Amino acid sequence: MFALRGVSFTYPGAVTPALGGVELSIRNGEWVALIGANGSGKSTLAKLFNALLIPTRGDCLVCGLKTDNEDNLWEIRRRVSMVFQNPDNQIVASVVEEDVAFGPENLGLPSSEIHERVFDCLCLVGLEEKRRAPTYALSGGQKQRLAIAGALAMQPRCLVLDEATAMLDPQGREDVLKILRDLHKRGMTLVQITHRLDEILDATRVVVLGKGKIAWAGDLAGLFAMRDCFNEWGLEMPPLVRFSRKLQERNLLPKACLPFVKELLENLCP
Amino acid sequence: MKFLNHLTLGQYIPADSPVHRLDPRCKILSVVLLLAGIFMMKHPVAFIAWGIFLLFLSRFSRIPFRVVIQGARPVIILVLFTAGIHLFLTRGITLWEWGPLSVTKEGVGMAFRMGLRLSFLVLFAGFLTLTTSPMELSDGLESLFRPFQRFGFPAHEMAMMMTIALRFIPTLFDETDRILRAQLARGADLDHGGILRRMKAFIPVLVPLFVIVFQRAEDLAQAMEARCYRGGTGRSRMNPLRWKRTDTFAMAGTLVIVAIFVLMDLGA
Ligand SMILES: Nc1ncnc2c1ncn2[C@@H]1O[C@H](COP(=O)(O)OP(=O)(O)OP(=O)(O)O)[C@@H](O)[C@H]1O
Ligand SMILES: [Mg+2]
Repeated sequence: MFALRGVSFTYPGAVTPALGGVELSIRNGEWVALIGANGSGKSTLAKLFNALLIPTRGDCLVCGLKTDNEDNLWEIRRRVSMVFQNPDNQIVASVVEEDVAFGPENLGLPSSEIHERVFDCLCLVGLEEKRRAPTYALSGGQKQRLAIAGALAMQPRCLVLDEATAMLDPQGREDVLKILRDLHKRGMTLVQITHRLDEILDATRVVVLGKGKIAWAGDLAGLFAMRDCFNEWGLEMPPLVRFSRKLQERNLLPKACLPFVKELLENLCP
Repeated sequence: MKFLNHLTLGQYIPADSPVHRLDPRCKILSVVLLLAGIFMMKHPVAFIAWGIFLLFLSRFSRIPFRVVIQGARPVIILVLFTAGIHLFLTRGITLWEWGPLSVTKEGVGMAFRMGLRLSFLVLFAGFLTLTTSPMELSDGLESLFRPFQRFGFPAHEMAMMMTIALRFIPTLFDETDRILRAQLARGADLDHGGILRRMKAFIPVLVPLFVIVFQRAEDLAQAMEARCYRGGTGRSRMNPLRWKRTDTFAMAGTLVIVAIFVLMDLGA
C-alpha cells in the first residue's frame, strides 16, 4: 500500500526538517497505529500518504504510484482518504448528505451512483436519519462521523485518521473506534494517529515517531514491553499496564499483560 | 437556533408547490423579467394588476402572504426613505409648504410610485429566496453564468464561495461568541465609554477572530484537496439541474404576463 524510502520533509522556511530519513512500508489490510509526542511529525507523515505534502527528499509510493508526479495525485487521493482532527474544518456543505456527496462529485460520478454512495456511507456511520439535517446542528461526535462518511464516499483503500478522536467524548470516541473495527474487518487499510494508547488496542502494528524519525515499530505486546522508552517518546503507559506490572513485580501475576481487562483477569485467576 | 437557521438556509421555506419544483434557473430568469416589468410600472391600474399577480403567486407557491410581507420588513425604512425624498424634492404645483419643505402634486405621485415599485421589487424577489434553497440558488447561478466562464468569469468559484460562506457563518458566530466571552472573562469592557473606546475594545476580539478564520481556511482548503477537489472541471452533481417542460411553460407564462402588464401600462 505505502512504501516510504528515505523520506525527509522540511516545511518551507523551516530550518530543522519535520521528518528525516523515514523508511516505512505498510501492507494492504494493515491497521497501523502511529503514535508520538507533540511535534514529532505524525501529521506531516500523514499528509505525505495522501500527497498533500511531497517529500523534499526520498520517495513516497502509494500503491506503486510516486506522489511527486502531478499526474498521480488524482489516483492517489481516491485511494487514500483522510480524516482530520477538527471536524468543523473539513465539512464543506450546510446539509449532511450534500457534504458526503462532495468527494464523489469531485470524481465526476453519475448522480445515481453518488446517491447510492452517500446513502451507504451514511448508514455505515449511523447518520442515515440525519441526512437532511443542517451540519451545524450536529454534535461533535456526529460531525466526526460525518467527516468519516465523506472520506469513505470516495471508496478508498486506505483511511488515514489524524487524531480524529481528539475532540470527542468517550462515547463519540467509542463510536468512531467501532466504525474503524468494522472497516478493518472489511479489509480497509487503516493508519490511525492518536495520543491515547487505549485507542490502539486493535492495531496490528504500532509505529512510534520521535523527532521526525521512526523511533520504534512492532506489535502491541512489543510496545508495552518497551516501558523504559515511554518517557523518551513522550508517551504515557495506560494505567492497566502499569497496574499489571506492579502486580508482576510483587509476583502476583505470572507475566505482564496488555491493557485488556479480560487478559488481566485471565492471568490473575487462571 | 431559529436565528442560525435563518442565516444558513436564508429565507427558504420548504414546501411542495409547483413553484418550488421549478428549475432555479427558470426562477432566477423569471424574477429578472418581473423586476424589469416592475421598473416600468407607472399607472395605478398596473399597480393593482401586479398586486393581484402577487397574491396569485403567493397562493400558487403555498407561501402564506403574511410570510411574504414579513420577508420584506427589513427594507421598509428604505422604502419610506425613498418615498420621502421624492415627496419633498419633486418640483411642481405646490400643495403644502412649511419653511424650506414643500410638497407638490407631482411629489405625491412620485412618492407613491417609487415606494410601491420598491416594495413590489422586494416582494417579488422574495419569492425566489422563499421557494429556492441556497444550494439550488448557487447551482442555478453557476449554471447561468457558465457561458461567461470563457471570458474569465469565475462562475464555479463564485458558487463554491457561496456554499462555503453559508456553511461557515454559524461556525464564525460560535467562534466570535467564544472569544468575546474569553475577553470579557479577562476583564475586557465592551459596553462602556464612547464609540471610539468601544471600537478599540473590540480589537482584541477581532484579531484572534481573523487568525482563526485564516487557520480554518487553510485547514478547509487542505481537506477539500484531500477529497479530490480541483475546481469546477470534471465535477458532477448529486442532484443535477434539469430543465423540464414546465420550466419552459413557466418562463413563457412570465414573459406573456410581463408583456401584457407593460403594454397595458403604456396604453393607459
Ligand atoms: N505548516 C507548517 N510550517 C512549518 N512548520 C511546521 C508546519 N506544520 C508543522 N510544522 C513543524 O513540523 C514539526 C512536526 O509537526 P507535526 O504537525 O507533523 O507534528 P505532530 O506529531 O502531528 O504533532 P501533534 O501531536 O501536535 O499533532 C513540528 O516541529 C512543527 O513545528
Ligand atoms: Mg498532528
